[in-house]
Amino acid sequence: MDTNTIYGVTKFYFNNVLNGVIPLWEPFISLGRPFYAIAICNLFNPVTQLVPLLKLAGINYANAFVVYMVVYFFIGCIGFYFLAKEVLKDRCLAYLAYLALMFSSLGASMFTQFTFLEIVVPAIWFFFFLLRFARKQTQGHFLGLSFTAMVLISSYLPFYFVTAFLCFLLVFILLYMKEAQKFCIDLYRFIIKHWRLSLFCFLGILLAASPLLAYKVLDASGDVVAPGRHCQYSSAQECYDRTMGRQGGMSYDEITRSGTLGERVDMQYLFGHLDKITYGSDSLFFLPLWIYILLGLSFFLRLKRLTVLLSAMALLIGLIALGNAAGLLGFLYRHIPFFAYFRNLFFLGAFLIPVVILLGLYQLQMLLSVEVRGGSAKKAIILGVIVLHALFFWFLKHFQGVPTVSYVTLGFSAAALCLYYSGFARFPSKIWAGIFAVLLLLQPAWILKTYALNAGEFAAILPSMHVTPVFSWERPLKAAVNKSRIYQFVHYEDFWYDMSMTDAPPQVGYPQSVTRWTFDLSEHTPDNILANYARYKIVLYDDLSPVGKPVKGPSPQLDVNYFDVNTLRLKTDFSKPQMLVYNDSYTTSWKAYLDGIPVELLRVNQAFKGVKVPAGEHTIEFAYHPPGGAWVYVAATAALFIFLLWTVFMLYWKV
Amino acid sequence: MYKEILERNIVLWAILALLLSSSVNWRLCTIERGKYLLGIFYNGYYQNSSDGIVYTDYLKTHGITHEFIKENI
Repeated sequence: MDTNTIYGVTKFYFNNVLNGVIPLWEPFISLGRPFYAIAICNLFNPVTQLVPLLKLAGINYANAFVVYMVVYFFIGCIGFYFLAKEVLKDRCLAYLAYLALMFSSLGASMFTQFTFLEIVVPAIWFFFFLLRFARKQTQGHFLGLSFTAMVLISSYLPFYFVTAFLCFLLVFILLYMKEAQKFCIDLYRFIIKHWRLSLFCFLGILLAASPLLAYKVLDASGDVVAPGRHCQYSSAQECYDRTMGRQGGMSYDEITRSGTLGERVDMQYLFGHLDKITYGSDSLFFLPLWIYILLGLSFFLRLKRLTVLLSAMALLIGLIALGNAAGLLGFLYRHIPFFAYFRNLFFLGAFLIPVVILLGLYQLQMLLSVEVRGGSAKKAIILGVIVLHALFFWFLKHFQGVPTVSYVTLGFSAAALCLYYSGFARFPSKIWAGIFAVLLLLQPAWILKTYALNAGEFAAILPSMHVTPVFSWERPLKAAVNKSRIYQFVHYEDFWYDMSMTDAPPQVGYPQSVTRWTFDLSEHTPDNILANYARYKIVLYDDLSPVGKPVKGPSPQLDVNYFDVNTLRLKTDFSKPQMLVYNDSYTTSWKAYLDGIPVELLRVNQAFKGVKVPAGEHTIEFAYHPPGGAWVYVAATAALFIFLLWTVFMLYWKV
Repeated sequence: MYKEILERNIVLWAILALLLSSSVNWRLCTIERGKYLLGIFYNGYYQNSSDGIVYTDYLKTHGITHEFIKENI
């Protein structure tokens, strides 16, 4: 359930930001590790800044996060309305498209896979601006394109969008050769004419990509075990060996082993067993039934290029997402290197939702524009509508557990379309749009109601209150336990300790972004010995004894002056020189200061940080300065915010 | 007449159906999905008390028996 993880990361990030610290290090888990999820959780998006703003307004983090998710979803729905209006050139149909997206699984799945929205919402706006720019080359549309590209690159790994976009590009060029040529010429002329703006947009995209680039630099340093996308190896040691050996990418088996569309989406559940959908239905996928009915009704409509474009896009995306179950991914894996770095191909399935909705509503547009001339033609069409609905009824009967509401929708659909073609009811188009909206929403409204009723069993208490982290001298030996069912999907410790900003037990789980030395230590040391050693954060060694003395609490000789997730400052007053060991993972990006002057930071006890401290009163500081530091996050957030304002200004005041 | 038929969506839908049915290994999808559901929801008895997707239904509808699991999953 990635939404839980994303919430945990978001809470950790903004809680620290509101404390005045941009978090770069997670000192609470895996004996300290870099804050790694920063490039895939949409943290720099202007909309995400709602979370700290709502927190400042008195709303707790969990509720603020839900508000942000809902707002982001509706921004996507509104974008889809504009996109559909551009494609279909009809306001009523665009509104129906908006409703269909709102009542698809895209909304419901935000509580399990917010990643879908992270990928799809900016993609919808990107395609909208692309279409607008193709029709009219204004600075506002170009800025809109750049801004959405910035959001896409900073909100999640851009692989999924790039794949979907390449599918679109391939089909578009084949079908719309002349238009593609014209677009390229227009784009070239625009860039030449507005080269300063183009340069700024390029810089904006670079700034938005800087957190991702900083992460890659950190990865390249060799300090951290940072597998490309996921770690799907047979053992932790294998993952470590391959990651640190720079054996980039994954084997084809690893990519297609899990996370494919075929694994996550079942044809049976497109139509049946919909009353079983709950929060536990990870990666659920459904579209309003009427969309499928429309596709069925369009059998005998005239074939149009747009129909081919949308259906071919859906087919290509679907085949890639199916992984090993279809041959296309294998071909791409062999010939395009970046396909070796990503799995969880079912994320691509999120693109199918808007594409198929657009396809369905385009068929509705053509169905409604069929000209009926004469009584016999009218009868033939009505007969066709009834026969096609009957065929769809027969199709549905093949699935088990199809809810009654699906059959009711089918019946109403047949009645409404017969009424439409008969010409008896000459309603204005808005009334027909209302009738079609009911047909569209009847079944998904029932599904969503069932979803809400079933979701109660997953009730969980997430740490949601603001925390000012306090340095604890000792780590707990037992892990916190929570029996909530949501924790069966994501390891409890993976996000609990960061959300509550308390220390986890001294152990290392899977080697995801832990330091290489901590990983080595944990692999070669029995758990109980490691736990016993790393239980105390500070250990002192003097020249006379090789055995360290753990510090169990503050004293006049040693106390904490300051602590945040990136920094620990200690006040010492030893009677003789000591080796002070801070049992938090060492990396080369950590620095040490004695009375404000840089001193050598030693890697001690294989994986931890140590500093020689002279006798007398001194201040020792450990500070984490990774590549780029906090500046990349500030720059990305600021760039996105500026480009949003600039885009809005250019679109509405200076078109 | 032929041209009239070839200009219709039904040809495209037929091509898509043909491509999907011929190029997709649906049995593999079933096996992968079985692994996923059992991996997440498995509680030792292939029983599901009140999970979201009821995999007992899933096993039944896809003919996933104990023997199938032994052989493939």
